[in-house]
Amino acid sequence: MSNSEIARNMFLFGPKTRTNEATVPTEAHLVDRACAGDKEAFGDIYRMFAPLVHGIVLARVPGDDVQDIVQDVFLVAYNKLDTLREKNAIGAWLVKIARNQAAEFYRQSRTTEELSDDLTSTNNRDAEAREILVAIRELPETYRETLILRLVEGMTGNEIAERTGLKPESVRVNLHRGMELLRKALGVGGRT
Amino acid sequence: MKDEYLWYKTGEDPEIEKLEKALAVFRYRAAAPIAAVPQNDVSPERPARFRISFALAFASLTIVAIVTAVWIRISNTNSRPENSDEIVFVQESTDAPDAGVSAEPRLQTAPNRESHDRPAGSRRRTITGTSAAIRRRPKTKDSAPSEGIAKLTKEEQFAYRQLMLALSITSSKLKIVQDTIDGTEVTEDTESKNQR
Repeated sequence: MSNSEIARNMFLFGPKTRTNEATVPTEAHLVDRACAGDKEAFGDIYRMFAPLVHGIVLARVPGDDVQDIVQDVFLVAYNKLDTLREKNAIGAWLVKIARNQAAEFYRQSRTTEELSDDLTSTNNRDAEAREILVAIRELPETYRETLILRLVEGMTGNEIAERTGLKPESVRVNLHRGMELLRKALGVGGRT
Repeated sequence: MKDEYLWYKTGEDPEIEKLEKALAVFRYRAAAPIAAVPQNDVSPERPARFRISFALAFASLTIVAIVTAVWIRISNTNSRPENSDEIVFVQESTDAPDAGVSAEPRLQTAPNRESHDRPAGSRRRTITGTSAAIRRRPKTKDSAPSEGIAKLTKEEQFAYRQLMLALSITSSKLKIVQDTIDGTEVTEDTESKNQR
C-alpha cells in the first residue's frame, strides 16, 4: 500500500471521524432510522462501524475470509436490528456479532488451515506484516482486539472506547499492556 | 510521549508508526459499503410477490375452468331436443298385468328418467334378451307411459325382426371371435343356437 493510500485511510478513519462527531447523527438516531427502513441510515452505520468489525474479525480469522465475515456480520445485524434494545450500544452489539460470526467460521470450516507465512508471502514486506499479525493474534483476546483496532484500523484510543463501549481507562490499559507484550513477542524495542 | 501517540495519534513514535505502516495492508478498505443489504431487501419480497402472483393466477384459472364447465353443461342441456327419445330394450314379461297386449315386440318411447345420471343428449341402449320388445315412451315426465304405447305396423314389425336378426348374427360372430381369442372352440350347438 502506498503512502497516499495510507494517508487516505488515515483521513477516512482517523481525524475525519473525530471532527465529524459533532455533526453526524447519533448512533441511536441512525438505528431508529434504519429500523424504519432507511437504507441510507444503515449505510452510515456500516461506514461508521465497518473498521471496528473488520478489526474484531481480523483478530480471529485468516485474512482472506475477513471481508466475507464482515459482510455476514452486517447482514445479521440488519436482520436483527429490531432486537437491539440499547440503540446507543450498537458498537458493542456489532462486536458481539462479529465474535460469534468468527466462532461460527471455525465451527463450519474445521479443516481450513491458513498457509504458512513462507508460502503465502510474496515479498519481505508482506512477510513482516504477517509476522506482526501472527504475533498480535497470539496475544490474549482483550489486548489482541484493542491493538488491531489501533495499529491496523488506525483508530485512536477514544474511538476504540466509543465504538466498543469499553471504558477509556480499560482501553488505555489494554493498549499499553498489549504493546508491551507485542514488543516482547517481536523482540523489538527495549522499553518496558 | 509514546503513550501520547499510542492514545491520541499525535506526536511521534517511530516504532508504532513502523508497525502501523507494516500492518496497513490488512486495514479495512471501504469497498461495496453495504453489499449485503440489497440482497436482504430483495430476497424477502421476492417469494411473497411470487406467492401472490401464483395464487392470483391459480384462482383465475380455477374460475375460468368452473365458468367454462358450467357454460358447456348449460349449452348442452339447452341444445338437446325436447322431443328426443331413448330406445330401451326391455325383457318382455310373460305375466305382465297388461296381458291383453300381444307378446309381439313393441316399441315404446321411454321417459328420460335418468337424464340427470348421464351426459345430456346421450342415448341409452339396453339389451336384456332376444325376446325383448322395444318400447317408445315419451321423454317428458308429465306424460304417462301408457299414453305413448302404440302398436307397431307390420312394416315396423318386419323391420324390427330384421334388426334383431342382424343383431343376433352380429353377436354370434362376435362370440366366435371372442372364443377364438380365448382359445375355446365354438360348438355347433352354440352356432345353431345363435343363428336361431
